[in-house]
Amino acid sequence: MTGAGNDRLNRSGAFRSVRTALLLPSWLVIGVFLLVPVFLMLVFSFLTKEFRGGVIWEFSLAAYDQFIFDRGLFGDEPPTIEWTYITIFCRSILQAAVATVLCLILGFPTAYFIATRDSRHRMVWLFLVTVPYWVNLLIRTVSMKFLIRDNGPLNELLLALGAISQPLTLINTDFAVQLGLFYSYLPFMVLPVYASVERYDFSLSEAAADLYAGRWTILRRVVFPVVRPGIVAGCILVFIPSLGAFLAPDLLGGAKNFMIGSLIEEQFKGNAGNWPFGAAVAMILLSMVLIALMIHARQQSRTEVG
Amino acid sequence: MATDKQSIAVEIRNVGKRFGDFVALSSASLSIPDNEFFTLLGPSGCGKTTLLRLIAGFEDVSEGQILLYGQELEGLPPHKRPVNTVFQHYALFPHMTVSENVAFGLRMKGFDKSRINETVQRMLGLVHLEKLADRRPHQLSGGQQQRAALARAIAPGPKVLLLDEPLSALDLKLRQAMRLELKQLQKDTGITFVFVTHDQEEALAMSDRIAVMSDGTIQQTGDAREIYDNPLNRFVANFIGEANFIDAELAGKADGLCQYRLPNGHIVSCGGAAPAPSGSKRVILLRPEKIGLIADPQAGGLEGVVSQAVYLGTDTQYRVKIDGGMSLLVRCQNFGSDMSRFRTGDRVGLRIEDGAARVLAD
Repeated sequence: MTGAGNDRLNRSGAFRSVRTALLLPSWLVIGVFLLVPVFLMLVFSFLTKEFRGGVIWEFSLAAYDQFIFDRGLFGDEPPTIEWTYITIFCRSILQAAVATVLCLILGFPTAYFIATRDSRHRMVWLFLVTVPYWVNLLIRTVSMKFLIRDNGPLNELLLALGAISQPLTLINTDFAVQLGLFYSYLPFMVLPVYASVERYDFSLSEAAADLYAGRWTILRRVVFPVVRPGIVAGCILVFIPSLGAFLAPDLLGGAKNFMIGSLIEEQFKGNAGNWPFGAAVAMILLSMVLIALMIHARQQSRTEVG
Repeated sequence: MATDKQSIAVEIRNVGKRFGDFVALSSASLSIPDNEFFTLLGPSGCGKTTLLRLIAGFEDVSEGQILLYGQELEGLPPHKRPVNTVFQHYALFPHMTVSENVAFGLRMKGFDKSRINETVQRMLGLVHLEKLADRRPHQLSGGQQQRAALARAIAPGPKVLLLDEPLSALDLKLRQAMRLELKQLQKDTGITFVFVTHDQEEALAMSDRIAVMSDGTIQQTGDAREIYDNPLNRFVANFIGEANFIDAELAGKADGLCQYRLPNGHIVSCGGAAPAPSGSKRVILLRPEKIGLIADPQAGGLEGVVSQAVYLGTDTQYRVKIDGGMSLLVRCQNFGSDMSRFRTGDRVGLRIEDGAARVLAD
């Protein structure tokens, strides 16, 4: 023990520099492609807008002010609360939440099914889950649009089956957006839940059955609580990208189902944009997500201790 | 006093279980009386755990019937059977405290709150875990987890408690202490225990009766003494305790005991003989501790040379090469004096009491 310890101490200098060298590429990538852009956005959000896109290097709180207050067309009226963007935020949260719940409802049984197959077949099932994701997200979303449009295959099928007498209006609804988000991010739910269920000790279910619990009670009182970390991870992985998504809302939701992602996208597109405002909205979204994650992390560590 | 039918807790009638082509259990029959500590003993893969899981309802029988106090169990899911299980690796719910674990079965049975609390307290007292009631399973030692699992299984007041190698994950000292505790618990609660183990010592120490199993069949059922002293076949004799097996030939009868001739011509009187024609070949069992070693080579009936001596504390194990070829295992207790000690190479006499050897049925 002591010998090995000394050995490690002697080599620690060399070990440390090798470790640094190996970690450097990752640090560089994270620094250059993650921290710098986020910092840039933070800076931009406090600058003044240039009318054909871009920024003027002059400190301003106008972007944040615009998000919260309505000062009239010329900015000289007494400020009232601006509800437009807050509404978009709330709608985005709702849409993302519905998409997350849909993913959980379909993703949990899928993950459970895969985890309970024998080990040779699991990989095949997991592969099948990821197959659609080899196709670009844009193409998948457009396909979804094609599927659910008024005279698309889904409506035709339902009409042919006599389930409905006239086409359902699915496209350009909240539901279409939720469906699109659900379809986009389903594997992000399935994979972490699968990882959790795969480690689940099924003798716990047997023990619960032995102690007079029926199937649903076992699921609710034993399986769910034990695989909760996987479920939470899946929910985070679905909810967060859903919140900032712009493809599904743009293509499937139409103009009236605007979401944060689209709002931000608009600000940077063409000459009509407002870079500081787009950056400010992005910063507000980012802070909300971070706060939510921190609250979760805190609760998690508290339950671990308790 | 209950009627006959009611006093049989578990009755297994010609039960078989197949997994695909693999026969895990074939035509097993047993009846376990009320309030008995019954052990299923056998090596791994012998079908003992399968039988336990069939009683619990985790598996369905392929054929035969299982009756609990005369009631057919077929088709009843585990949560409708009035039996509880202590699992090999305890299967305590990791997200619940010890008392929540113990309360689980009581909640499921829909008992009211005060009754649940009262029962949980009583159960924790029974297994000495009162002080650890609010701990999570991962904060307990192996022995404590074991006791929590026991309390959880007993709390709902099952008619029969099934225990699947519950002591196998504990270290030796703890295992020995838990044996006594389990036995005491069974006496105190009056619950019928069906205990599965591969440890013969455990089985002998705790059980009222034992069923020895191998290859999916029950080889013999009886109390510890019966199984040890009068095993039906070679497997049972070999699995429980140590054994010398000697091919012998029936030479005649005397004083109700059969006389068997050993390969070297020596005659031993054997108990447990089934009637057989003179000259028929059988295997006889000679337990190592039933052979006496004497310093004077001529004083016993057999003579030999000690080829190995292993000191084991309470006793010494010798391997003695008998004149005429065979080699016997002998175990002698170590008394205070070293009179009975022999060394490798010593010439010794062996004494076999009449009736000490048993004839095996196969």
